[in-house]
Amino acid sequence: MSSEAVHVHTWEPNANSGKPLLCLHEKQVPFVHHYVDMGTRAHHEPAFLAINPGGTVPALVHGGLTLTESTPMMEYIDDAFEGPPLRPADPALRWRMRWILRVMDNSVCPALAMVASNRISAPRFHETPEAEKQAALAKIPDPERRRTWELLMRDATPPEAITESERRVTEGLALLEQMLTASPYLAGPEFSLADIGTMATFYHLPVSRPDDINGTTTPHLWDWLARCHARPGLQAGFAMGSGFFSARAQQARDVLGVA
Amino acid sequence: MTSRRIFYHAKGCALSQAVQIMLVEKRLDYELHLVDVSAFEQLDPAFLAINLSGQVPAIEFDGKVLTEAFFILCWLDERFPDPPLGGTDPAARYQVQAIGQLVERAMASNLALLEWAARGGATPAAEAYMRLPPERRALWERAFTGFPPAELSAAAAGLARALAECELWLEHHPWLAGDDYTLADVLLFPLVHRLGEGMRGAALREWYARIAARPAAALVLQEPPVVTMGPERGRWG
Repeated sequence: MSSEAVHVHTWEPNANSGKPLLCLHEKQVPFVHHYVDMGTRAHHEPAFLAINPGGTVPALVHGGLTLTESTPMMEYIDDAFEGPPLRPADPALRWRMRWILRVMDNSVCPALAMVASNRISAPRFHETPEAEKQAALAKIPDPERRRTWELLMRDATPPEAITESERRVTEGLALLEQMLTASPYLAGPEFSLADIGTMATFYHLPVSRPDDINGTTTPHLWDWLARCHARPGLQAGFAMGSGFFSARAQQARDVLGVA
Repeated sequence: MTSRRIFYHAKGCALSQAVQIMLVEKRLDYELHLVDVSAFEQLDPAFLAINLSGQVPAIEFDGKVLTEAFFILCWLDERFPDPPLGGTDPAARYQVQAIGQLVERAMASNLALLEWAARGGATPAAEAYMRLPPERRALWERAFTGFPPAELSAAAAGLARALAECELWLEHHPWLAGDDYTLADVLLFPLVHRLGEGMRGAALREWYARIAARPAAALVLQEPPVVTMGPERGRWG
């Protein structure tokens, strides 16, 4: 089965969409890439819903399987293919890897998504006619996601929820700095899926939060960013972006002094 | 010291019961440390020193404390591979991981809210839950003031959708990861045990009966369910 072609449907190499792209490049697995434009909400259109009826990216199709959960998808990539191991052999370090990925998936990443989408996307909907909003919302299969998009389109996220999200992002960054004082990578001495998952969301820190994240304030996180950004696999993954995202990864490498 | 094997268990708590089943399936001996969540012992400084988020289960093996039910199951399976319960191929192991996410995000979290709204009530002293980290404290505070109706209906719908997903899968596969009984089944069983008959579809009922017949499930069947706060529901889609 591992000899069959891998088809990956993602948006940009950013957040959840970045996970399989970065992971496949690190694992050196050839794959066919299908771009799904979240900017035009193509993930809610019939063509993509035929692949993942849940209407979420990324999706990975391999043989008869369609995988739609990005973190289990990374474990699958490491599990199903030959290539450099991306999970620690020690069960305790694997526990740590999964624990970090869960903090990112359940708390830090949704918080960052809330803050960023309210800053960037919510204002764009101010001029959108009501009927157009209704039509867009009607296409979203998952009711909880529909509710999130509704809050965004109406610019109705409670301010205290955004404040709490900002607190969680700050706390998450402090946690990463603390964990990286003990080991060079998030799950111990070796690079792992914990680093890939976290880089997919935080690769841009040197340019997006230069006041909080720098060589003086967060020296361990800073060195980790440089170590990760220097990896050919991650660089190849970030190069798959269509413009803004790849440029941002390049800017981060420039600030870090990574070739 | 490092050879001690301790299981911090709360009787009647589903995620803690999953670890209990797994320890029996793996034929492991352990010291049982009971945490009475109906008396809020999980908020005592002594337990918060084990898990600062004040949640059971936790285990202390090989001198290390591990928390988070699903990851404890994964760890037990990788640390003690016999009998193997992690899935026999990459597809099954993916399914195990995906069920782990589903149970935590859409089942344990939603069920805890619904149970609290229906049967919850006991309130700890404020200084007890003030010891928790902010997000756990906020969850308890919302429990005491009462969850808004919109959140409860979203929780009910989320739980129903997740159960429908499991039902559909079990109509075509004997176990949650495919052909073999795995830790995904161990994780979900104690949650399904708490559900009213009407919430279990035919395939889920049949699956439930097969696990209930296993000796490892006997302890769960004896413990009356206790209502407490589960994992946090998702905040942003």
